[in-house]
Amino acid sequence: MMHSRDLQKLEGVLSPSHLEEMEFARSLRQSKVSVKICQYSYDLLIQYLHKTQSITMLGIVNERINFQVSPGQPSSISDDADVFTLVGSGHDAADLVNQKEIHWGLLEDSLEERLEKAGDRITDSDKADGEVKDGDLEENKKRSADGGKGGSTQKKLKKDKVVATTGKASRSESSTTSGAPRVKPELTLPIIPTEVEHSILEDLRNRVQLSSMTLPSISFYTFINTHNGLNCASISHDGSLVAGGFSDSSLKVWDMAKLGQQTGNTPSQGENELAPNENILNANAKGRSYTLFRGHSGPVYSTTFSPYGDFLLSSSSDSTIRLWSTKLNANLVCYKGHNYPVWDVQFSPVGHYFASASHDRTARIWSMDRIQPLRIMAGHLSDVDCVQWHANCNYVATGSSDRTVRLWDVQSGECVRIFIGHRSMILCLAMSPDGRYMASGDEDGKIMMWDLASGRCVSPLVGHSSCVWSLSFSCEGSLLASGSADSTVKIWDVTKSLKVSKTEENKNGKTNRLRSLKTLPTKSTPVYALQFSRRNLLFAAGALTKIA
Amino acid sequence: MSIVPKETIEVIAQSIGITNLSPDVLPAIASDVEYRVREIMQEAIKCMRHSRRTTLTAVDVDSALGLRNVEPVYGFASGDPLRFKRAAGHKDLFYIEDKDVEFKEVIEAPLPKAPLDTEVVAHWLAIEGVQPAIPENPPPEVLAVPSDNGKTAYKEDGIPVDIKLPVKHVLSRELQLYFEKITELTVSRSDSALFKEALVSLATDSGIHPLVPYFTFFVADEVSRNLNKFSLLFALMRLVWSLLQNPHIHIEPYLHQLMPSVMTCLVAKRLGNKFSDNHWDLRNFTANLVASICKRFGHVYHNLQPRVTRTLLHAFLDPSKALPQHYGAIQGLATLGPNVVRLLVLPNLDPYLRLLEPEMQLEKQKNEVKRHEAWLVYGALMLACACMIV
Repeated sequence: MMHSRDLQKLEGVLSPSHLEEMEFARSLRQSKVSVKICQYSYDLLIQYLHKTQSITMLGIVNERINFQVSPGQPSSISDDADVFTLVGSGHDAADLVNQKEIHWGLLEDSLEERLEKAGDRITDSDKADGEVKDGDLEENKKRSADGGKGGSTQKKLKKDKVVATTGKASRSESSTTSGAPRVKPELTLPIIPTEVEHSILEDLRNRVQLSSMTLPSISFYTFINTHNGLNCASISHDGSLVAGGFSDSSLKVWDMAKLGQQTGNTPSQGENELAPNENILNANAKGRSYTLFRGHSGPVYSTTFSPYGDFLLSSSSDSTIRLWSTKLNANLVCYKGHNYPVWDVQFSPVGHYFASASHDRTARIWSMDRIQPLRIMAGHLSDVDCVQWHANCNYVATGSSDRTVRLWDVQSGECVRIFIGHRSMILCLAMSPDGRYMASGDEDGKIMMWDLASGRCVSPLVGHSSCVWSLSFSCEGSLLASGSADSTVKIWDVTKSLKVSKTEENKNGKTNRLRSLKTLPTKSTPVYALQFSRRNLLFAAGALTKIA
Repeated sequence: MSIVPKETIEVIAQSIGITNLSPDVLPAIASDVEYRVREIMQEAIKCMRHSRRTTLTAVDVDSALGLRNVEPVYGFASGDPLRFKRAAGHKDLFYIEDKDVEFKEVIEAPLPKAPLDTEVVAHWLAIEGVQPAIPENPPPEVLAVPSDNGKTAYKEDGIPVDIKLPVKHVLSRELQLYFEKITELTVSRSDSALFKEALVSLATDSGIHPLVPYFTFFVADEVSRNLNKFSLLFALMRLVWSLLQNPHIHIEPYLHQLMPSVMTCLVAKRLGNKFSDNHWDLRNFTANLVASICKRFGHVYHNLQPRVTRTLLHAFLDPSKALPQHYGAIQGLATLGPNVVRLLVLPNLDPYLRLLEPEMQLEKQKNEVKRHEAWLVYGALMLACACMIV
């Protein structure tokens, strides 16, 4: 808080004689406190005090406060070194909230874990791994927020040693994810159909390992001829489908895999192949290469694909959320609950559940099979702009125009963390795959990395010159990609090596700090959406804009 | 209070017919109006951010008014920016000009073209972290040249010809490998299927523009040194042909380096060193190449064709030159078109035939090879004249 130390000093004043003796109190009584304020705010303040006849307050203000009134626009607080940002309830309340316990580990029995276990059984040291994993499961339940960090360090060290001895390449990638503790899911999770499971396991096996040495390949989907109508874009998890929400209330989905095949098929066509090709051509007889979904009655502000690509959700300014099926090309459900435009909607990582963020200052959690929301998360002081699920689906993070990011517990609906530090509206959120960190981007171009356990900012990432529209972590959590309105994609190195001891940290401080690895400019195309596929190929989407 | 003066409120009130406002009401209304305007603007900024834009438009203000349950403001929907005109006599006063438009004109005006439908195009922004030099990506060294919207395909906004700033030329690893592979294939294995693939790639690839100066130098260098290696020459000429076919690269600036080597292959005294080398084919091919160059770049470089014809004519009319040279010259002139043949070959046909005839006859010319050459030259002449008649 701003003047906590001063207030602590004043707590010691218990009698009038103390006032005479204490240096600080005497100086306060003799001089006036100076407050910088702009003309408009000052006029508002004086007017209010006069209107409410607060004579005492006026007396205090006149006696004790020296207003430094500056004409013109209010200047930014950040320029003033003496002032801290005070948001809403203030830092005290935030600290109180941040003491609560959260379990930020990953879901047990996830596909990644099953893959590791399958790999482990092949090697000799599976017993040791089993012990390590059991230990994780037992410990995390009793672990408090701070203890979690310490405990996992040891587990990670043990795990790394095991990895080194076996020397299996496929397990070195899971150095962050397998070290994370496992938690039970709070929601009933849907069952994954077996073919989908197999294809996901196949993807996991073929995943490219990314690090600060091996940068990703980026496939960019450019929307052309949008006439400033594209409001949002979203890419499915395998990169084959891209959806665009437009201000004319339409939702258009392109199947990029099919488009790519069509151009490949036309040169060589055998006699037998003519029939299926004809069908494809007939389907697009109207000449459209996309599927048009009409149903909303206001601009579509957000779209999201289900993890397995078969459903699509869209939210709009008509305060409804609609569920579309990509296989049937039809609208299935319309969810009505908000009364104001729904700014963002996100599917949970396991599908079936989704969260929405709206102008009415609440975020809601829904299930695909109920038209009423399951939970309403109220607490923000201004409208909620973006929402994101935690990797273990037990927590939901929301970013708002009141410049805070909050983490909510799905089961109880209460806020468990408040992250203060941004200086403008928060536009996007991303969760690291190991469940430990969260990244948020705001409209100034600043990205903050938050440690979920402690509620503190690990590091601000500065580099973008304009709004950060989208963030995405790579699948093993070592790289963060950010897309911005300044038409660039930046790749950041966010690996924190826990093996480095304190002394080494002081020597080569540079190696530990989060830094920008690469900036990739596009041709006047602000980047609206980013998505790392399960194989660690980065997909990006944006609309080609005229340079004004 | 600070922005909206009370005179404005008075004027607005008068414009809707209320003239009897008391003076202390005005500041109150002014401050309230300002507060409302600020509120609407903040909502409008939120709408703008969620539409993923950074410029505020009238649509955003309308959505903000809709959020507050206020009727939107009509009349600002056009896409053009508003044009303000300065009021006569006042320094600071501007107004929006309302043009009177004839109803008839508006009704009878032709319909504007329908806007193009939205499409999605995919390309690689980076491959393993490195940005490839394809037309969809911004050029690596962007000089301070304003390029208009690259909405349609590739435009030559990378390295404009007339800017003479020294550009540091850094070739990517892939381009270097590509160049080395192609040159190696040309030199050693020019009759393999791989070389044919390489030629196809040269004719269609869009990213090889940085390599063009290297290729032209390579061709010029190899031609000047290896006039006796027939297969190499043929491969080089095929390479030049492929480069010319490529629609994505601009080869005009390098023509002055390519032309000498091409002309050499056409009218050199001796191409190849074995009798079995079919240099006639090479000359035919090169003649076609020259013709295509002239046809394509003739109107851009006005003195290209005259220079070519002058060279060919010199080769044709010089009696001291060997017969194959004459053959090459005639072929070149013939492929340039019937006009050229009529103007240049026909007048000189008579004296030339007088020179050629003895070579063709068995009695005067004992050398079999020379007689063969003479007959070939004769055949070429016949063809040239025939195409002119047709």
